[in-house]
Amino acid sequence: MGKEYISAEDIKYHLSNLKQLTFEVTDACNLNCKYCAYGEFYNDYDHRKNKKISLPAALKLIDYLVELWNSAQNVSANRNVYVGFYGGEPLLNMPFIKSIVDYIDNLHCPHRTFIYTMTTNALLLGRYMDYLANHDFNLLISLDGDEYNTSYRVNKSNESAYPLIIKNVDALKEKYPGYFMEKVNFNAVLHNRNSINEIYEFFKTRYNKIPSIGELNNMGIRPDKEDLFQRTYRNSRESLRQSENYEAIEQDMFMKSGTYQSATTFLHRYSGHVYHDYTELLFGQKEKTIPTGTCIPFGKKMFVTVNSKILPCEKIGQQYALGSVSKTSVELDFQAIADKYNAYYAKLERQCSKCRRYNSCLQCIFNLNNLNETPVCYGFMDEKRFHAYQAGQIDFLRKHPEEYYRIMEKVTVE
Amino acid sequence: MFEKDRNYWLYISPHVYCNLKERKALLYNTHTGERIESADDKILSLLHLLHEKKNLGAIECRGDLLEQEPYYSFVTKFCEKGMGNVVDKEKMPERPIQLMPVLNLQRDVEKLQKERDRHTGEEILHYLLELNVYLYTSCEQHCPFCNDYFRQSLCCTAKHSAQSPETLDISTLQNILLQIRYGAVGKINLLGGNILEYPCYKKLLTLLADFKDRVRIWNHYANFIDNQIVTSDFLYEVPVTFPVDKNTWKYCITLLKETKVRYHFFITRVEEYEETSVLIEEYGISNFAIHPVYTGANHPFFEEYVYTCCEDIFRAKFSFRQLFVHQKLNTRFFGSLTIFPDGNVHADTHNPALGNISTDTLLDIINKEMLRNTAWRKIRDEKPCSDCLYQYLCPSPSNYELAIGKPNLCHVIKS
Repeated sequence: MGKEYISAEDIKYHLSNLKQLTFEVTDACNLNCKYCAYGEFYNDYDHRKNKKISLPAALKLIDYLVELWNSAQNVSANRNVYVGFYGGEPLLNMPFIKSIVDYIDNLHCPHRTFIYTMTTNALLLGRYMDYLANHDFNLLISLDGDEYNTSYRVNKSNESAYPLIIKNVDALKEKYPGYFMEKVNFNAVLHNRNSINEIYEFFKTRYNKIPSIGELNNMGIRPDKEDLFQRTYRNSRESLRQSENYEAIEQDMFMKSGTYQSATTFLHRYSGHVYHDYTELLFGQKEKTIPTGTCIPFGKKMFVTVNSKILPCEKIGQQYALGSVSKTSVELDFQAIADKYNAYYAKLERQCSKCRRYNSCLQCIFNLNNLNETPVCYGFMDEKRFHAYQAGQIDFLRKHPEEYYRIMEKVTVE
Repeated sequence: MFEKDRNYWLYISPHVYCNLKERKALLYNTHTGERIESADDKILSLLHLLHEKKNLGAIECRGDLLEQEPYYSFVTKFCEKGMGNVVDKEKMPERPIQLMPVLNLQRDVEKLQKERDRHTGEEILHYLLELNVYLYTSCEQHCPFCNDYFRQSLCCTAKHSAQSPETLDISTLQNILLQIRYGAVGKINLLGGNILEYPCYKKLLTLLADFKDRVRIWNHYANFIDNQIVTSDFLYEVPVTFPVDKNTWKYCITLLKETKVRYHFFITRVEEYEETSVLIEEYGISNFAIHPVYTGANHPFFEEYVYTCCEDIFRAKFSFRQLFVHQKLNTRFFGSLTIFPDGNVHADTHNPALGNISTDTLLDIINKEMLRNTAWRKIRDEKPCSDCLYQYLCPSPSNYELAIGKPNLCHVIKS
């Protein structure tokens, strides 16, 4: 038997203290975005069949989790559990969403507060905004900027979705201004028809919002689409640096900017002044013992696919499912999951033990190529690379000394 | 040392703790324990500059300024004590910024309260480190300060309530143990009265089987007479109060010879300290603690032997984490809950109950303490300590301060 980095008991513990449960409500979508993670570029997802998730299976899973949340392994007097609805386009399966919300609202789970979240393309927002606002959904609307910026977001007839999205978003803002201000955010994808500057200016001017900006996922690309992918892909840091006032933009974007996220990671790991909680402060920071920066299974979230597969995250390939759920049972073998992770960790241990960035690694094991054979981490840092990384962070702080205090005083990461 | 027409960077190292008060400053090197104190306005201004956010621990100084007093003497001492350095700007053109010691406590209660989507109750079972459970209040001893010992240090008592004797139901204890099974509780102190007379004492052995390394049984030395139910599974914590009955003491010592035991001497005057020393010597006691007891009439004894002086404070060397700890939590109380036989749960015996174990879960009680802060996060942030340079080098406030009714038990107060 190999080295045990995590145990079956650890997995049960994390499920008993789960922070986020996300359902892939349907794989159907009323858009046909060119860069969609379930679209033409990629080959690492289950074939899309316009399916809807099974409600009885989802309810079974909730019951299973509630038992754990009410068990002695729960360590919180109160904590939020984010219940997320993801797609496809989740609003295409509104009966499921309403049933889940209704079920959860009537649960006996005294140590949990449930918060509903949804990522939507907003095409059906006009029809469902009352329900979403009344149930205080955290809404993340996918929109890439102005009409041209958003032109990869097209409907099945290849027509721009922008006019309808904007009409619905404006109506939401008009009808529920308080809700819009507090609970609605935007998520933009960076590509060759927009830029960080354009995205930022659009949302700032039109909605006084700072959007999250993501790059195209470069994992699982079909070999025959590699060229097209490369032409569409834009790197966010390079895009940002092309704008004249990029420093001001970054400062305003703060933790939504890669630079600030990177500086925060650096300071959290290396300043020596960051403590997770009172016991860590009292007894000192614990040494990192697990290779890579992969989350412990269910340490952050659980993702349930439309095909009832259980994954630790929606961002990883579905071949890495850890279990499944049906209307009669939840299949999660804690020992098997621990064994699987331990075997993966063991493969990386040699590389990780020599990596100078071991303590601040963010590399998810599931985003490495050849994980089942001989994975190689391209984020590996020898002394020279680490020194350059360190110098880059220090240089940022030298140019923005007051931002050091802003990060240290304001940023909390759950 | 400095060339007058040159420019230098003066920087303060991040391992240097600086407490800047209105008219005085303390610099403390957490690596070496060395310190500098200054009341000079010019030095105070210099230190303020180093701590301005825009400077991030480094300022530019001209050589002619550094050559002048009081700067020259201060900077020389500052560098000698490893608190920072002065470097020629020509050799280091870029500002040598320092990761200044700004505490970032991610789950700081006050911070969490301000966050819209967070709760103070997140993952708090780990905060519970020690449980003191009073099972039974009956005791036939007549210790002179039975009502005081347990309010100042952990100790048995028969005086918790007027309605003696009280008994904590064994099923309640069972329920408590269920709640802490997955927590971080490292010490479970079981106390009486005379705990050996607890009606379910024999059942404790089986009930506590999974916790035995963590269990400590507290019982007054005189209560071991005619009680031979001792087991090597638990650690015995044995309070000794004065006057000591020699025969009973000898019996106790003999009975507990083969068990894990620690003796706690509760002393109210110097003569009792001397007697304690004799007992320790004569009976070869190696595991013991001495607890002064404030009786209301022995203030001079406390002033002379218990109050802190400057040398006491600087006898230990403090890491930066320890100094942060003193700014955020009380090292004596944090993590400890006391449950009395009536079920009432306290973070500190001087303060009102946070709840009752028959109706509240430990999680809810911990959360209440984090919010109400009756003890766990009591720090030296009130006058006169808040004016003192040694504010956070000093140990956390204790129950002695509460018993005596004085916020600082020291001869120092550097303000």
